[in-house]
Amino acid sequence: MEGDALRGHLELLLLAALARAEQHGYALIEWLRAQSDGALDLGEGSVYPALRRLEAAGFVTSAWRADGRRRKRVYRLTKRGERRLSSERDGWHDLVRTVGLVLEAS
Amino acid sequence: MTDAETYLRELRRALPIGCRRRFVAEVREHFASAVAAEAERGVGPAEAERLTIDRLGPAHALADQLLTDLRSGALGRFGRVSAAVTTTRLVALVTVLAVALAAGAVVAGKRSSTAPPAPQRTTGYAVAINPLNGEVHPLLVALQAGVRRHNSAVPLLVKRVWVSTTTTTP
Repeated sequence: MEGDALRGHLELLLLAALARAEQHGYALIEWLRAQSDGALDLGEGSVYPALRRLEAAGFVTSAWRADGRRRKRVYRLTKRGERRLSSERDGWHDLVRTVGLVLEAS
Repeated sequence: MTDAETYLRELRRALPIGCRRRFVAEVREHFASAVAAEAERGVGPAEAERLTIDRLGPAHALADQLLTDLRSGALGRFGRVSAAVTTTRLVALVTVLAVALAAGAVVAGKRSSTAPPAPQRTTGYAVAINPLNGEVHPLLVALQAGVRRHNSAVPLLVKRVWVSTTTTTP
């Protein structure tokens, strides 16, 4: 599944990934790829701007954290982000159910 | 210079000043993580960097995404201001300010050459002098009081006087 098909759902996927654990950008991308058995081919360049949008909206927070000699920007879900994930997840399930009903009827 | 360094340099150039530091640092870390992960799979650093660039997309496209969000306000009010402060604009602003300061210094130099020495603080006042009796009035007061009507045939002399004030500290 390539970037165009994921458009509009990227932020939901990132929130879901962060609900599991706080992570830095590269780890998020790798985790999403692994969880989808490689089917999710994220446009990696779109992940960082999306994380910025989520942070500006108050759904995630971030901070630099030392990892050996390197520093990584680690993202964490906020309470507001948890509520957002919950409502987005409900919306997604509704969409899948609705589309499924139509496809099965055709 | 490696491909990653070239990429990061292009990204830095394309981003507004206010957000480039964090964003470039984050993408630099992305490269480091990717190179480390690819090394575990037996891929060399140069090839790992090339693969990472393919996945990230062109630097200008990455910068454009961030700029679009900044300008739309998706990254907050500060983001809009930040997006406006690019290197080119900043250089232009500094140049204009430098020219304005230089011009101001030239004008001030010319004025100081005709004015009396002003060791502390010198203020210029426009005054009206009545040539008939030598009275000196502040120009505005003289006009309001009708001093000029005293003798319309004799025009008031308008002069600039310099008043120096000394500020003493206790």
